Amino acid sequence: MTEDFSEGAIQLIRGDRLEPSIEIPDVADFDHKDPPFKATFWNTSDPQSLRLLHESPLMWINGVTFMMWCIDLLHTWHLGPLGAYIGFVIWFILSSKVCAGCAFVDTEDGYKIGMVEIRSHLWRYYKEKRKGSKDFKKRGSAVQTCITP
Amino acid sequence: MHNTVKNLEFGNAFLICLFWGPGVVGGTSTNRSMCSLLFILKSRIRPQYISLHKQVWNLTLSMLGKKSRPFLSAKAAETHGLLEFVVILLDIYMDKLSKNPDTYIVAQLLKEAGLEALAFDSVLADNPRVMPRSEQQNLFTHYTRFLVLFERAGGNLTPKCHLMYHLIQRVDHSGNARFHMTYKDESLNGVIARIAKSCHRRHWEWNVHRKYNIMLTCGVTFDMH
Repeated sequence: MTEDFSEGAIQLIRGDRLEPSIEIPDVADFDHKDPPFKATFWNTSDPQSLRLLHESPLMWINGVTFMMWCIDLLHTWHLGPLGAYIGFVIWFILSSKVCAGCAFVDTEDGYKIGMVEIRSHLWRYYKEKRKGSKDFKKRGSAVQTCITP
Repeated sequence: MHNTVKNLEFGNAFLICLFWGPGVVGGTSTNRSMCSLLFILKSRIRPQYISLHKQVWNLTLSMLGKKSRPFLSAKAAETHGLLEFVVILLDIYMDKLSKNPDTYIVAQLLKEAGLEALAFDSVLADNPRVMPRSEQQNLFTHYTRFLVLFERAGGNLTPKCHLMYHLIQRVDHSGNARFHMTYKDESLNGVIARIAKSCHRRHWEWNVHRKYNIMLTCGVTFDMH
């Protein structure tokens, strides 16, 4: 919806999205379809900050339920809340201007200087880890950049 | 990932083998792709190549996502390895952060959230496939505490945060999440991605298959974890 719409019981707000359904598999048919018919709109409580998702058509298949969803630790934990947490912590430290020399430069430069300092802490942390554990390298737990010859 | 190659000698014998003959691909791109493939194979075989590879680390601003929606773009193992680091990092800067009451509260919340995440991981790591109910409860408690503290510190919650509750819920009948549901050949994606980076877009699909077949023909085997 590009603007709010209100008529009788139908209350739609800007940002709502018409979703494909069994009655309207192609949302472009909405304008040409003879009423009455059922249409499905998806919305979000906060269109400014929340991302509006799509309904998964997989759930329309008979026999497919949520219990068939393979929720794995790697994609759900490590590549989910954990990634968000680590990113948030580092951004928090950078934006708090607690790194050495950040207070006297502009914001962008401050981030870069802070990142250098955090990186130096990271290298030191990895160095200590390698000293403590011989197989730390084999675990792939270190942030690395793929280099090509 | 741990790889082994049996009875394979690198060097001239490999370079002049049929796959790399001038009739197959010619010009300088051949040399480039040859070097690239050699590097991949060597890094799989020789430990010193692996360690050298891992010593070229990087952590940049672009890896952290937008400031309004932070998210670390790294491999799962790398992200997991960084969890302990960021808790230590908060400790390092805690004195400076404590000078401002607002940042001090956020830092404390984040540190506690990190400790809960580490406790969550240790419950998974310390338990066998069949987890007792008390440990399942610990998983639930640590994860809930992590989420609540992270949100109070200002973190964004995503649908995956909810999905994690279903993962914990399923531990009761599927067993410890550490043992199941991640595809056995997940690490193979990384190998194929690295091959794909070395291929020119003109014959991209063909070259990815060709190089992958070379690796298989050479006897490179992957022990999936």
